[in-house]
This record gives sequence, structure tokens and C-alpha cells, in this order.
Amino acid sequence: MSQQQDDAAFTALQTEIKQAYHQQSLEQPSAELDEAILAKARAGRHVVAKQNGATKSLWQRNAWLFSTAASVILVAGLFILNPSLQQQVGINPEQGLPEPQMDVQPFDVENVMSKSSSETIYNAAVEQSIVIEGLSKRAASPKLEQVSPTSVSDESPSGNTLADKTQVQDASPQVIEESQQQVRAAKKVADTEAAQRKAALPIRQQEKELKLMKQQLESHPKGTIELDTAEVAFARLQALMADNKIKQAEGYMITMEQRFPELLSPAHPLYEQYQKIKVQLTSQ
Amino acid sequence: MYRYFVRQIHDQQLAEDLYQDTWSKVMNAAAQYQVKAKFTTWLYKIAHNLLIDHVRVVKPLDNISPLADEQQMDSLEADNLNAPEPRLQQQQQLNMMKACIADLPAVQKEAFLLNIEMGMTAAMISDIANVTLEATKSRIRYAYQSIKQCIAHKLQEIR
Repeated sequence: MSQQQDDAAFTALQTEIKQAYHQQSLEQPSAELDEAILAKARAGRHVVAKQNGATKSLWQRNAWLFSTAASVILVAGLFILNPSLQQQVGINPEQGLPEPQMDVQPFDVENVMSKSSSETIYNAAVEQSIVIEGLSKRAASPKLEQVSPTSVSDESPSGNTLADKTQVQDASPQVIEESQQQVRAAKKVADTEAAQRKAALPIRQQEKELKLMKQQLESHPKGTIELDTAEVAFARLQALMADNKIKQAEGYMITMEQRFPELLSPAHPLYEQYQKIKVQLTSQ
Repeated sequence: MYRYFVRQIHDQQLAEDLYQDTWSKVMNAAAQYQVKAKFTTWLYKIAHNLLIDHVRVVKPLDNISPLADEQQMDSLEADNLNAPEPRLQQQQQLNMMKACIADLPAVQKEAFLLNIEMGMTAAMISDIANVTLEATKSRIRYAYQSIKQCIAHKLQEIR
């Protein structure tokens, strides 16, 4: 309590004296004195500015100019040294011109390969249709000709020898109709695929695909299914058997079962034929 | 800051010199000023150090005295001596206050002037004078009390 009273008393005293103090005339510095101080301040500011200006080098004075020039040189150098950057921007590295559109100047090799690939598919479908027609004719005639794999010549399994190497013994009308439908579908697929490839893909992607297709056509890897339907795959299996390529046929058979498990179903039209070939391969 | 020097030194020429020197030091040390520190504190630290360097001993001033006022009072007519005008009385008290401030010890005087002129708190004054907070509070309190007692004593002497 006493402390608070003391504080209150002091606060009152402080207020009283402050009020009295500020009522008196207060001393002020003369105008000459203030002017002298301001002049000194101005002189000191000029000296500091001169010192700062003198210490700046040529690089510091034109920093923005040098930095801009360095940036331009760096970017130009990157473009010159790295052609892929130009391609990303859309500039032809050889001529310095924008790259041509994909439908301009197609390569001859590309045309040939795309044509040959579509023709290969088309030929296979056509030959299969020929086979089926042959089968239907034979089914109509009283005599059925059986062709054994051993009597077939040892030619490469190209599309032209499929008709001579067929091993079909019994052909039903339903099988024929289904095969004809599949042939037509395969033709359509081949045509549309060729058209899409020409129209949609850019040149470089087409080159890559052509290279892949070349490799696929040239090589015959074991167990690789090249065609999409079970019938076409079965035809290829028959061709391998006709060529007496037993090991390749075995591998191909395994892949066929994985790719077309419906062949193992008795309801499939090619079930019996496939089982016969399977027995032949497993017995050897 | 001018009155800070004038009220403590009582030598106008020296006060002006110190006042000018303080501003010169401020200009020269402007690059070293840290923004986090309050400018007035930094400014009065420079002034305080200059004051200490130049004035080691502060004598109680006899120059400022109520003699002039007393002479004024003497010049008045006799029938008005017993009833002085309020304005004269007020002026008289102000002059007494000035004299009492001058009679304060140097450390109390400095603390008082910084508090009443600049409105500085005890913490800021302790930072400038480089003393503890409690010591500064004591100086301020004693200064005000001394001034009050001094004025009252002088009024009694007049009567």
C-alpha cells in the first residue's frame, strides 16, 4: 500500500513539474548553428557519393549489359552444340528450317516396308481363304486327299506354300464360314492398320516401327506369335511341322496354348487337329 | 538536444560546440547505425559520451538566478508588493525551477532532462548512461523531489 501511495504521489509530482517546465520559454539553437550543421551534412553526402561512384568498375557500371550478353551467348551456344534442343524447338538441324510435317516427303523404305507388311498379312488371309475354298471343294467331292507332312517339300514357310502344306482332313461348313469371316476381318484390319500407320505416325516413329518389323520378319524367334488369330497361328504351326522344324514347332505350340487357351477346349473347331499335332510333337 | 547541453553545461558556447560535434559524429557513424536500435537512444548515447569527455565536473550554476525577477519585483510600486500579479508569480516559479534544475547533481540532472524533454523511460535512460535500471529510477525520483523541495524553499525565502 505504501509503495502504491508513493508511486501515486510521485506520478502527481512528475505531472505537476512537467506542466510547469513546458510553460517556460525553452532555449533553441540559433539558425546559423543549424545551417552550419546542415551544410556539413550536405558536404559529407557528396563526398560519400563520389567515393561510391569512383569505386565502381566498368563491370559494375554495366552489369546488366554484360549479364544479358552472357545469357544470349550461353543459350546460342547450347543450341549450336546440342542439335536435340533445336529439334525440340522445331528447327531442322541440317538446314536451320522448321521440320517438315509428317505427311510430307515420306521415305521410300517406309513405304516399301509398310506395304510389304500389310501385303504379308493380306496374302496370308487370301491364302487361307484359298485353302478353305479348296477344302470346301474337296468336301463336296467323294474323294478326300490327305497330305502328310513328310511329302511336303522343304521350302521356307512363306505365304505362298500354305495351300500345298495344309493338313486338314475333315472340314465342316461351320468351320468354313467362320474362317471366311475371320479372313475378311483380317483383311479389314490389315487395310486399316496400314492406313493408320501412314496417316498418324510421325516420320521418326515410323522409322522405328519399320526397323522393328524388319527384325520380326527376318528373324523367327521361337514361340513368338506374329498373328492375332488362333487359326493363323495354327496355320503357322502346321507350316513349321511341314518344314520339319520340330523344336520351333514345340516352342510355338506352348506359346499358342498360352495365347489361345481356347484351343484346348473340345468345343473349338481346331481342337482335334491341334491335338493331333500335339501328339505328334510329344511323341517325337 | 541543444537544451540537453545548455542545461547541463551552462556555457552556451561550449554547449553549441558539443551540439555540433554530436551531429558530426552522427553523420560519420551513420553507416554503423543498426536499424534494430532506436535512433534517439543511439543519438543521446553519442551526446552523453561527448558530455562526459568534455565536462568532468559540473559546478552548481550561480548565473541563472531569480535576481532579475527580484529586481523586477523591486521595480514595482509599493502598493503592489503584497499582491503580485499571477503572471509574475508564475514566471517567478519558472525561474526558480530553472535554478533548482541547475542545482541538481549532474547524474540526476541528466536523467531528469532526458525524461522531461524527450519523454524517455528509465530503461532507455539507463541504456544511454550505461547504468542499472534501478539506479536510473532512483536518479529520476530524487531529481523531481529535489526540484519540488527547492522551489518550495525558495518560495519560503521570498516570503
